[in-house]
Amino acid sequence: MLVRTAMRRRVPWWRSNKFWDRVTRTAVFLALLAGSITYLIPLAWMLSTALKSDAQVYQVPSGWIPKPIVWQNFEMVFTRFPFWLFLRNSLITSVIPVIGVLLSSTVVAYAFARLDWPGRNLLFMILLGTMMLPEQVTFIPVYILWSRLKAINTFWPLVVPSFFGGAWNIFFIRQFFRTIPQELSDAAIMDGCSHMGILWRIMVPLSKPALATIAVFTFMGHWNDLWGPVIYLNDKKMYTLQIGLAFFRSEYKVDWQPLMACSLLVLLPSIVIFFIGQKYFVQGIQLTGISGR
Amino acid sequence: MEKRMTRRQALGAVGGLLASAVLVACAPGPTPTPQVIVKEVTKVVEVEKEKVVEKPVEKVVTQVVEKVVKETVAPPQRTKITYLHFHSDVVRVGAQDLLVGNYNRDSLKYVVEPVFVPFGELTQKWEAALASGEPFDILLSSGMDAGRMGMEKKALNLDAYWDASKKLPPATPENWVPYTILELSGVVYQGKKYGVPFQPDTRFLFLDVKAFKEVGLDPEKPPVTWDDLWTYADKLDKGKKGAWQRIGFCPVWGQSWFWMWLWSMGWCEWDQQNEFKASVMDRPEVRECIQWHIAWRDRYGRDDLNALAAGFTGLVDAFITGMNPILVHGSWMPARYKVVKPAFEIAYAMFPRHPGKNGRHSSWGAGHCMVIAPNSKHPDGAWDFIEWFLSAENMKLWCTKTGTFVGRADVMNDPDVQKAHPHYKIAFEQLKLTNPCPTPVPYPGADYRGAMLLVWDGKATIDEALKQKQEEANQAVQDWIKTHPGQ
Amino acid sequence: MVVESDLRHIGARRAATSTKRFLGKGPKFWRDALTGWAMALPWLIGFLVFTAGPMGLSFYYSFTFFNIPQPPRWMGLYNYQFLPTWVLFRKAVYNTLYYVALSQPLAIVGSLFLAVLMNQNIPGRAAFRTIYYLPSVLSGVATAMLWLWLLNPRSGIVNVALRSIGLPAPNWLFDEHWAKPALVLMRMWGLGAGAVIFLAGLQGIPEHLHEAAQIDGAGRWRRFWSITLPMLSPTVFFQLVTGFIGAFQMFAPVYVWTQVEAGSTGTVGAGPQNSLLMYALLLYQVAFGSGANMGRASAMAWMLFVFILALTIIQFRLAKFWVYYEAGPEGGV
Repeated sequence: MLVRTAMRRRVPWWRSNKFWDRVTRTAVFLALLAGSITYLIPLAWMLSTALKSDAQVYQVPSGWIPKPIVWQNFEMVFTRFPFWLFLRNSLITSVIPVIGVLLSSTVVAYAFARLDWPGRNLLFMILLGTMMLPEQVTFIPVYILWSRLKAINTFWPLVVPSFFGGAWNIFFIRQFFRTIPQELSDAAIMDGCSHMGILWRIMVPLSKPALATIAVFTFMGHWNDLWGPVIYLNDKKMYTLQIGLAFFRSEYKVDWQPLMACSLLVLLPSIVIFFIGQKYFVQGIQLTGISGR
Repeated sequence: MEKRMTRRQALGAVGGLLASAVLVACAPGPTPTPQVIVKEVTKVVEVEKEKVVEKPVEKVVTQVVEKVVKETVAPPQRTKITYLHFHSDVVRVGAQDLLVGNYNRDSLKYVVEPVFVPFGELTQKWEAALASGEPFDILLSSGMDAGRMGMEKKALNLDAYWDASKKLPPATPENWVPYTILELSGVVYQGKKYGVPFQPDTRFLFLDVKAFKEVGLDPEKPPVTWDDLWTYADKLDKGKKGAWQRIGFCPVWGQSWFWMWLWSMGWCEWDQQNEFKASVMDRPEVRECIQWHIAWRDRYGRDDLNALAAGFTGLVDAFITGMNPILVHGSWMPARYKVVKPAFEIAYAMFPRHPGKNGRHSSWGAGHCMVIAPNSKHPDGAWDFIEWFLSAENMKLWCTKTGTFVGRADVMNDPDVQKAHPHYKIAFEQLKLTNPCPTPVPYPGADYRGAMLLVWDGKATIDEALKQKQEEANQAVQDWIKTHPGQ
Repeated sequence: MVVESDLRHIGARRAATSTKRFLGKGPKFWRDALTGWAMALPWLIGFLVFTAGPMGLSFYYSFTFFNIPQPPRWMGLYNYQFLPTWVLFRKAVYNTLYYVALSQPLAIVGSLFLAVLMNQNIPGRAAFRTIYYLPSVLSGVATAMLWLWLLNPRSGIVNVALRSIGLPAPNWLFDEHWAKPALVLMRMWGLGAGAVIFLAGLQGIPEHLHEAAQIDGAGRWRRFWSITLPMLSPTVFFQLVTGFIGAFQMFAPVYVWTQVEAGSTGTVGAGPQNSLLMYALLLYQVAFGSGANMGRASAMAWMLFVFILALTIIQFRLAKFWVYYEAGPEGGV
């Protein structure tokens, strides 16, 4: 007991680490809280507008509280277009690419991150290069290709490219793979593991945060994609929620309240996915048994 | 154990792939073409025969029963015609669906499938389909300039169809809204027709009745010339610089565009011999027009005007809030204003003309026309639908339901239609004088509005602005000539 | 324990980085090369089928005048010569550079700061993460339309807030000097997405590093600079590279604003005096607007491509000096 008290440095309470730790954490909490409120205000405004009547929306200024609260604006969303059908279509075109991306990007990222092969660096630059050319100038040949494959007005053009890995995803996972120590792979190689084995048994489990991020971003990217469905889909039965949103915008006017209502509804599944994916964002990595670093 | 895990994961991956493929393949496919059904009918015909005999013999009555069975021949598949449009407004979509439904019900050879695309992506979708060889048959074009589309080979030449048509009147300015039949800015190119006018639009004066009456002006006596605008605004202004409560008139608000004012001076950009030169911008009329705009700007103060204009959303503008009693706006606005403020009284008037002797009440218009793809696989069907759709009865229905205008003069002059909406009278008059200038040259025009805006924003004097924009216009024409050899 | 066989193994790998010497390579080298190519195959096939052809075609188009559906007409270098002389092109380049220079540093520093804050041990972390990420979940179109209202100079909450604390309230999208800062402000609302990526990177930093440093007496700030940042540098690098690539192609908000009515003067258009004319927007207008010329649009695209590529290569070269990978330096294994 004497030893313990002797080892503990005696400092006044306002200089102890524990105190400053508390202060910092409180400051962080308050800062985040203030920022959250600021970040949420636009969304609150969206909700407010979604519930306003025509008369109130056309007032300047129109105030925050909808008086009266017009729930019909939300109803309008379901009558203007077949919401549930479009929801199903959106789900199909958003979930399947996630599977495709996870399967393909991990494999390709491993090749770029952990293997050395002739032409790798050049190919990696080309990979990045594909992100640098705006889509508007390449989409017509792609459209013609899909047209020849008789795939216009189907979901294939929206879903298939994900199974070939996206440049952004591959780059991101590659960065993540490179943070994993080489010793792990080396040890597995010495145990006789193949590269695919290393990938699935070592790299992937350690990269859950990165993969979760990719999954969420891919889902959201497809969920929010208006352009792809507009160009490739003709049949109203196949339209997605984003096209449904476009019904509220016309050449001469915008139906703001149902548009805001619909936007909020369309937002919800993305939030759910994010919430689910969150668990993996925060998964820490336990790297035991690595010494000398 | 290692192999088992990887096999399980591999199976999982394969399973995921299969499931995805199944889901995508099971996605709803294209709607099948509805067929015309012919019912088999059995008809029984009874025939009575009477035999006359010399001697009184019993009458013999024989009954002959004829069975007529209608031969059912399987009707040919109806050809599907795709119609690319951007109508999303409830009213217009309703009217369109009604008409398309009627057509599909009655047509024997064709069935039309409307395909919606948001307005911004219209061109991309149309051109991608054109390039791929599987075009949409009909396009609701976002402009009235089907002639230009024809020049660029994006539209089919309709002469063969239209000249032979019994349902559509010939393409002359008497039978249609005149400006829709102009070269390049309308549906004509080199004398050939490339589109059929559907919905023209125009711009004219909107007057705030309440404000007029408040200052002792008569809404029935609207401003007629540019000078009238100034004197009316003198009465209507309220407040002072820095604290305006009412701005009588501002020539850059609403749908007031610089070239409209140039046209109202009796001026046309291309009334000179050009021979592949840009139009000459530095002319006294142009200078006068710019100076007139600047006078309005200085009357109220630029910062005041900017702040006020920016403060309104697209929903609610200065006019409907009573702060701008004279406004130039589009022919689609009355319906909108009615929704925003049903009780707001609006009077309408022709676009003001220049006080000089050449002044005219002209205006600018655009609109929509219907166009057939040049490589369409079913041009006959496409024309069949267009012809039917743009018939007088259908257009009358469209007019009265949607509150917009159509291109057919006979429908526009129909008294029932004219009475349908309060602004129609002025709108029809204005439509006749819209787009008064023919466009004889295919190359781009000069940016007159840009020149005025340079001066408006204080970035250049009139001389500098005109000089700069002239150089840009020359460059644009040279560029056009280089990229279009032989045109 | 490191064994001699390991050393040989590592040495053989190092030798294999020099691609010039193929002769005398053991079967291991060829096996690795084969595996590398095999594993990169999914992307490679996709690239060859969907991307290489269209990219090559668009490169060809950039030397033509191409008005769909007419066949392209050969123009040689004319497009590339014309563009720099065109006022609108120069304006678009200026606008885009301005926007990127202003928004990128703020976005990266801001989202990094946010991620570090959210990584602290405070209550309600999950809630905070969701709240900050929420704005990024909205589609680009919805965000653009929402901000059109928020930035309304008179009734939008941004100016209402500014006025309430006595700051000047500019006309934002209707003032040529404030239009691009308005874009940057909107971008700041989307910091959550970047923060999520940094969070993923932060999770990759082993706890024991921090623990060891704490035992050695390192304070928060020291630990941040010496442990967190270096371990996070691959993610920062990723954000920098992809951030620039994306920012130069910024399109959605300005595009939406050209279509929606606002103010009393019609649409926002490309901004007062074209202050919102971004490069990608001009490209779109050249490709599909009146007087459409997909050839010239392709030339614009390839000029942008070369520029971004050069910038990226520079970043990769500089990465050697500041990016730390556990698995070895950039460019090597």
